[in-house]
Amino acid sequence: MENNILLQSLKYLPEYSTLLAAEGVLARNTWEANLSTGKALEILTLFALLHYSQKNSAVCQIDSFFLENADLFYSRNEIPYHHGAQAGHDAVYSEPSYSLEKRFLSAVMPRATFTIDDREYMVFREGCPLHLFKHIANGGEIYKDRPDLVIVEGSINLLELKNQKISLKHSNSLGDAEIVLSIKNTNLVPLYDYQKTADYDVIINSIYECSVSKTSSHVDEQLARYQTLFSEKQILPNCFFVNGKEAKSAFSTLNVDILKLPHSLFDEKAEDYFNESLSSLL
Amino acid sequence: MPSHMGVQKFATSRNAQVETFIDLVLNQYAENLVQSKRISSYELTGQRHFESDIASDVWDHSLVFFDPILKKNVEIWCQTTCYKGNKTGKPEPNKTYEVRETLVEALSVRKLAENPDILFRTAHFTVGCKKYTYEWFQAAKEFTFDLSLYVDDTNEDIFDMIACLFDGASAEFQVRKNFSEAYCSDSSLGKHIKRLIQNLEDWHLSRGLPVQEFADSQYEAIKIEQSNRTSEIESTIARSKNAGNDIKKRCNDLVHGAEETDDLIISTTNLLLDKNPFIKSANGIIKNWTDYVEHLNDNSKDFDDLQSFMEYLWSKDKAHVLINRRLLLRVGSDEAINYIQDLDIPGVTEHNLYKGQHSPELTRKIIIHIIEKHSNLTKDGIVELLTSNKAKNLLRSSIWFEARNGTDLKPSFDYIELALKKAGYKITKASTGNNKPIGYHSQLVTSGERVNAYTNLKLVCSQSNEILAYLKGKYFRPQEFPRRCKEEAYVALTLTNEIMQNKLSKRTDIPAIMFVDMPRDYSPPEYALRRLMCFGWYVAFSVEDVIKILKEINGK
Repeated sequence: MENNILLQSLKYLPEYSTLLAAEGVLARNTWEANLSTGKALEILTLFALLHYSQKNSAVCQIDSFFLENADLFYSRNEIPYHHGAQAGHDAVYSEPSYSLEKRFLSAVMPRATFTIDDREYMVFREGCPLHLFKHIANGGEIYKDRPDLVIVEGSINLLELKNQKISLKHSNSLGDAEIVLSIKNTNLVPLYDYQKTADYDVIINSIYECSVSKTSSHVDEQLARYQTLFSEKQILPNCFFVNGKEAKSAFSTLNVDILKLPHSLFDEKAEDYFNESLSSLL
Repeated sequence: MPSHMGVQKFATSRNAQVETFIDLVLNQYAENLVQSKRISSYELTGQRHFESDIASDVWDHSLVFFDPILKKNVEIWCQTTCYKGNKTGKPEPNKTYEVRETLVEALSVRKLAENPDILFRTAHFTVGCKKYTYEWFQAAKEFTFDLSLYVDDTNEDIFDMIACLFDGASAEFQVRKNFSEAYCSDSSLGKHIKRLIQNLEDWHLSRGLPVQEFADSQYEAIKIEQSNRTSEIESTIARSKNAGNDIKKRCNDLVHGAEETDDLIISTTNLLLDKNPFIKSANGIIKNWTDYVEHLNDNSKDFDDLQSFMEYLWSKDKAHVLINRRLLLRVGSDEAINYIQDLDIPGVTEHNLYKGQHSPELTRKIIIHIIEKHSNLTKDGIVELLTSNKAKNLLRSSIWFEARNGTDLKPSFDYIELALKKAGYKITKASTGNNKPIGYHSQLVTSGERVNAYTNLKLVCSQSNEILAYLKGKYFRPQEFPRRCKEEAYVALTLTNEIMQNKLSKRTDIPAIMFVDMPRDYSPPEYALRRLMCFGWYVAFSVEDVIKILKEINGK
């Protein structure tokens, strides 16, 4: 059933065949998982978003890092975090499939970028490290909120990757931030250095939450929290809810029949929904 | 049931902060080396994995650099341990497991020192009260790591001091800034940091990173054991797949009413119930719950106040003391239980808390402690709590928990003992007579501390009382299999060897046999089993295995 979804998805998204056909534990965990986990819905919503943005004349690009490490496309934009050793902590070390450096890169790199006219946007999946860095550099506390898809204005340039450090620069219409990360297992956010121009901020345009099990009141509360956390200078991000159930949210909702994935994300209703959700960027 | 997770979460956060603190100390030490142009660069890694044929351990820190004066690539691998201390100032026996694991990790990693291109060293940092564990650990650690350093403060809580570095700081650069300020200041923490760095520099720059030769000698003994027993060790590993007999579970199932045809399992379970009268008593009370409720209601009428009623329940309600004590300690709490041993009442230990005879004075202190924990408790309120469904459920979960985890309950060990007796062997306690099982770390202690013989070991003897083997039997949970092997490895190494003229040599030809009880469909990690054997154990998964080892080694 699930593998059938993958085969059908390849038909709708031939331009992303390299990513869809990724081999590795992360991709397998997505496509082989039961539909009720919502994993397939989440990743297909990301692909649908890219697909429709291209149909709307955006120039969509996937970084070569993900084309060469397609399995990591399925990872989260979450900085690897070492949970402090407990007394007499476990001897068994769960050998990760990827080096720490690759895990860090996949955590900070957007899953895709798209350019509309001269405006640049990035799509992050399950977290937005740029916002987290800004938040804690300003004295905020670590938060655990990780929206499923986040569209952020601007672009990232990878400046340097050496001596176990990643240096990158985020630029948008408000300014720049230069971010240096230590590539290490730590229980802190491994933000080694953070410099920004005076007016810089992280502008989050849109947030998409996908679910196959949440109640609409739960999603309403969750998206309202995201709007508060991720707002910039009183501008609230647009929030969207892709629901595998029938309920509507107070936020713009697309109800999809998960038993009919991927078709239910590529029918007329879905296309209208994504076009509408992208209209604020176009 | 109230959760222990609150305590665990706090310990995790404290340990994480300490790990970061030591990481920053090592980083400052390395930065100083760069600034003084002793080295040009370095690599400091956290949570480094060491993997070999006998190990899969995580090391808290590793510092790697090229030293042009020593003309070597230097690798210093470090572990950090927190000792939170307690008010009674007495050692915490449960820390011994962790201590053994740390020592075994330190010996296993010495494989890296075999590389002639690397100057490999190990270091250990103890943060907190060093008296939190038995004093022998200090000596054992100093002879097992190349460097051992301590951080504690007589006036202030060292963990509070370290926690200040993390106040309002979530990012690495913020904590680093706080650390630099502390390092440059005259604060107590600043002095601790400077002293640690001074100790590291003294070890490195003044003394040229000396090796702890006795650590090498211990590692050599492990290698010799492996080389002498290669084929037997590897065949045991090959045999280990799905080789468990799941004795502990079968006994537990029998306690809870399952059918069992194996006489030995039935005998083992009867022994288990005799050893833990609480399980027997609690099972009876669950079955006759209304009688217990009636008993409490009737008795409460005889007392005018809460405290005297609770004191009666704690010490004088003889038939129900084992039940009452557990419920009194837990039933009113919705929050995390603190460590039982941290009641901080002198005279109360983990071992006598539930079953000990407590004097009226001690009973009063315990009851006052419980009453203070719960505001607005009344005599009727405590009766209501003790007779509630929550109390009944607490008893059920206590039965479930204690049948599996009681420190006195060793169904796997009892089973193998009964089986060997049935096969004609004699089993005696190992801690009596001339062959007391005392580890060689007792020879390292200089403080005059007496090191106790290993408990939980038995001797297998022939009918003519000839000693054939040391024996231990234990259930190895899959989740903890490698940890248990690591902890037990130290026992066999120190039991079967001794220190002669600062070197390690074989103390005895009597083999140490570990009867490993585990689930039937489980294949243990090979490295974990290999470590257990290379450190000196012979491993058996069945009665037949034990008898085979006895016959092969002793010819009997």
